Amino acid sequence: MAKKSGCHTGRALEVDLSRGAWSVREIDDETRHLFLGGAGFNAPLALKMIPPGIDPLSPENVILIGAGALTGTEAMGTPKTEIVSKSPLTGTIGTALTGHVGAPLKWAGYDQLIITGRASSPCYLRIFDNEIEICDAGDLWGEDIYATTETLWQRYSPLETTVAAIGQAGENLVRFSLILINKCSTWGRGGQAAVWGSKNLKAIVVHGTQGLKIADQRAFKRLLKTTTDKVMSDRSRDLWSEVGTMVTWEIYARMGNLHVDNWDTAIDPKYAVERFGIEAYRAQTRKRSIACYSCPIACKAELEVKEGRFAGLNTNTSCNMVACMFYAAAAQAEGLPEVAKLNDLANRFGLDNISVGNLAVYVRELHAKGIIPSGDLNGAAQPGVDGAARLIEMVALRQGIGDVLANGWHAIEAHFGDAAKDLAVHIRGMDPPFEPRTNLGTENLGIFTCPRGGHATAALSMTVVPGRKPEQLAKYCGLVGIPPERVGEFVYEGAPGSYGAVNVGRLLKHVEDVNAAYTACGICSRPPINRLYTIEEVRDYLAAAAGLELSSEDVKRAGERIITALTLFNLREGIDRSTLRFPHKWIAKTLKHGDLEVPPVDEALFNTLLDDYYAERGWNVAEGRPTPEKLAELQLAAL
Amino acid sequence: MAAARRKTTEFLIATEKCVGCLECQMRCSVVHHRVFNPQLANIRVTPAKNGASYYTIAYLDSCLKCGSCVRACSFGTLVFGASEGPA
Repeated sequence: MAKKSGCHTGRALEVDLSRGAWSVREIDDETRHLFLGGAGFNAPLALKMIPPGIDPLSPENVILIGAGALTGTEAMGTPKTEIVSKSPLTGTIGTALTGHVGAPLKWAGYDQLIITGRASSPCYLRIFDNEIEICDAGDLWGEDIYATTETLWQRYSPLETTVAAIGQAGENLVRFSLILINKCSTWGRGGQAAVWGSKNLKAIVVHGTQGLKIADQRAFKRLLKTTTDKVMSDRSRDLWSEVGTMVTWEIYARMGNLHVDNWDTAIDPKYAVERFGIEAYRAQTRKRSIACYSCPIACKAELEVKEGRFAGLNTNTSCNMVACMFYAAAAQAEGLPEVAKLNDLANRFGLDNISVGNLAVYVRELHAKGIIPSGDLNGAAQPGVDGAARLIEMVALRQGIGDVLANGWHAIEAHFGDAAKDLAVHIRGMDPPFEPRTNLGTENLGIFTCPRGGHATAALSMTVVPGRKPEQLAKYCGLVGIPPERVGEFVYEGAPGSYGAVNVGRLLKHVEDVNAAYTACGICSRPPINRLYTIEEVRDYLAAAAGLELSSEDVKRAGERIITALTLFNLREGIDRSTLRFPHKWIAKTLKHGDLEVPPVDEALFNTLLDDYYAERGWNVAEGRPTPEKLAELQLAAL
Repeated sequence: MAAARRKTTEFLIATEKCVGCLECQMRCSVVHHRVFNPQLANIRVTPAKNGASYYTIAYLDSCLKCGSCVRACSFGTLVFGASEGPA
């Protein structure tokens, strides 16, 4: 098989765990041009390889891991590697991103890793260039992620291996379990680790020595100089590099985006800043920053608790702001050391911080309303670190009522009945990270359109912060490829929704398309990275690094194609606009935010914005379904 | 200035600033081997493992002291020593 001239290897490694066999398949030029890389390669293959209607925890589910087009090169902030399977949490397409795995996978000679079947006993997969081995993991099964990772690092020392592993939560098929890479970076949301657990796959160990060539080194060097200049002149970079996502903690607290009691009350901003803000973070738990490959920001961190009950605790965080959102606010941990402790527990067992926090407040309310008796909870409904730690353990190990909670929101509602249904805040089975009552930007609407359920990485835009001016929004429209003559259809006085000034429904389509294209290239969605690149620069990087001759419209169109393909997967499962349910609390309840009573979002407004979104997509608006004409236009008719 | 840099024998390493992005290794390999391959780099950044914090940073004997790694580092981990550059 001929090796490509650019930074695509043109090869996908396919491992069948049932037969214990592996093979290499070619990724053809048409696929590279239409889908760019990584997340793009995964989308059409998920439709082809995962049979309709399967149980996500059956051997028929397929794991697809795709490294970004630019991943493994020096292009800054381009490490993103996507894992895909049918989600055991939502029944939708399941996707998650990490900043590791992809680079060594490409250095080993593969753009994509495909895992099928089910091993007969616990195993881990070793990929060292062309040496592929399915190894016995009997000694690792039952171990937590940190212990597993340390053992595998030691086993292959002194090689610099990348280890992606699951913990007890994944082994026990918890439907919001996550995979942790190198003890720090996550494949979270949607229960990807449970899919590994169902296949008896404990870990993947990757090491590559083949390297990557690029198509045009001179052009690449010129582009890298431009990107480097932007990085070094970014005034926010030093703070991002020091405290990572905690940069946004105070903004989120002041917006009312952090709920403390199951979406009824937002955290007191003064308390949030004093107890958990940047100064406290520096003083109490932050030790150092950790970067994904090629990242000039380094927003992940090693934590070390300096004083108190948990003094000496050393752990890692993939996103300390999210840990604070769901442990400091939702779980009501007493301080940053307690947040670090809960983050450490979730990391070791392999649980999603967002879902644990959202579950903690939900369980607390069910307990307060007498729906779950105290005896069943064994203290897990108590606010604070001890209650949340107990909840994590009960869920990860499926102890008592934890066995029900571990099955995710659909199962929880079915178990506790109608009384519990209106109290649960989730979209298609995934609990969201964002609050739409205080700020209805693209990310808050995007949790309803996101193919993987209530999460919105692909919908992040400048509207994440309220109050942007019309001229800023108009400029942003240009950055997401909206032609100047159409900007007036997006930015206008009286646009529907609390954001005002911009129609977030129409804008969302373009934000999703561009972000999906960037993700396929490996570009991180964190704002300091995402804003380093214009669509034109991404086009130029793809030409210089991968040898792809595309227009900037082609690049964005690839993103549209990816979003559409992922949606086709859901439609095939019977998941369309008619099955969307708006969380009762958001459309019927106010949010207490200090002295304010923030009103609920009118369901009709959600629907108006979704009408605009689907109309902008050129899809059937009532069903949220791409039309045959649109599929033909996107060259997706064969899917 | 380029000639002066080639004469530089000392790079200062502030290990505590390293975040493990591997840009230095990637730059070294592409400059000297025209391929992005950290395994071919003359500088090696080894991640913290087994409870140890921070990274170890070491140069192989094959290092030509060209300074490419220093120019690639955007965290101030690698800097030119005092002898670098024109007087």
